[in-house]
Amino acid sequence: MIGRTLIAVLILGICAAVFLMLDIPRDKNDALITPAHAAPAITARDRVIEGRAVGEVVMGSQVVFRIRSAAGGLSPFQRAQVVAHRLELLTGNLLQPEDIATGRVRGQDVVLAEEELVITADSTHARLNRTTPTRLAQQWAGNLKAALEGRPISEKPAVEEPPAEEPVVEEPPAEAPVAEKLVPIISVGDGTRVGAALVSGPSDKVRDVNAVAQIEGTFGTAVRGRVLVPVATEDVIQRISRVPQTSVTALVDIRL
Amino acid sequence: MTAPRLIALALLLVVGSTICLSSAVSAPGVLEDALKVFGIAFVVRTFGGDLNNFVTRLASQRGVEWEGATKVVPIVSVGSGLFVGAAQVVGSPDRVDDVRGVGQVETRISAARAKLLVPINTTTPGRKLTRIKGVGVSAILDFKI
Repeated sequence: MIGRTLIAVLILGICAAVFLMLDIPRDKNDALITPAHAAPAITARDRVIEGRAVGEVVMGSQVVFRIRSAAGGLSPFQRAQVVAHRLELLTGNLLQPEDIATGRVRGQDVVLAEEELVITADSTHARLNRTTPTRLAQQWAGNLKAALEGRPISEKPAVEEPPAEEPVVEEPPAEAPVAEKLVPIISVGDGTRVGAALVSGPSDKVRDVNAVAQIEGTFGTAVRGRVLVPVATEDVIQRISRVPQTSVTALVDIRL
Repeated sequence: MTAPRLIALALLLVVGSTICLSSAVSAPGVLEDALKVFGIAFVVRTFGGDLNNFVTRLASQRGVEWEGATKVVPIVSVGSGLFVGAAQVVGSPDRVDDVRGVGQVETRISAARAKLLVPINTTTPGRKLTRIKGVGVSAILDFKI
């Protein structure tokens, strides 16, 4: 009887040791997760069509928006980059076709993704397309939905060629309700720059952010914590002046 | 029930109760053991309150305080589905309440590699991931396993 007990204890001991050595996920949530819908890659490209510089926002292999006019000091390509970047940052791979809608921001027709601004259907582009800003916004939103669903976008281009004699009137783009800014991460301990972070928030607040202060600490030996505080000044050793309503949305590694 | 079975049952009860009671003990040492045995998701769920207090204390030592509510949730690598760490999120209490995890999406910004951190409503496989707006990431927790 004692022998059998010893054997049972030994077996259990071995099982427990193996169990402790293997980091087996015990929770159902530890299983693999895949996004419900992976959006195709979003990029911007610079093109010249019939002698005119054009910026294209491309999703997968399809042109979703074609921007032909400069505005706010940005070339068409730079505007396309802003739109592509905005789309990517707003939603990453989590964007769904049903998240796309049209609306009005500051009196202008816009395309929205998850209720945030993607692109403004300004009167210049509407005129170039011989349509109204509202219809153009609907057309662009349709393009974006089609690209997300993997359907081919209508043969009709998002923006048609303007008549040669029609002047292109530059208009400033509608101010985005949410802005992003890339700033250095500064360690509070020694003031060194330890990376970069993208901060997000209302544009007037994001403007004030000049750095992200990193406060470090450890919880036991297994956990290292890094508090990331968007701040107005890079002098974070003396005083941390947090900029409210802003937060870190991405950590950026820059290859040296 | 035979004696070996009773012993086996007793041992299992001891191992299980040690882990289950660990949340009450809240010692970093227990957290390390639980991390090795059960992984990041379990530790964050069980010790989330302690980790949140740790981060809040760390920030308050430097005079930093957040408006609204905070919470520590696991970071999930979107695509692979692996739990790669934890993050403290901050925002209005009702929105923070909806956050179940932070989705990490790797992307490129010009020549740089960026990890987007998106507060999401679920970490459960098969469910639609939805971004919780109005919630930001205030701290990152790295685990040494």
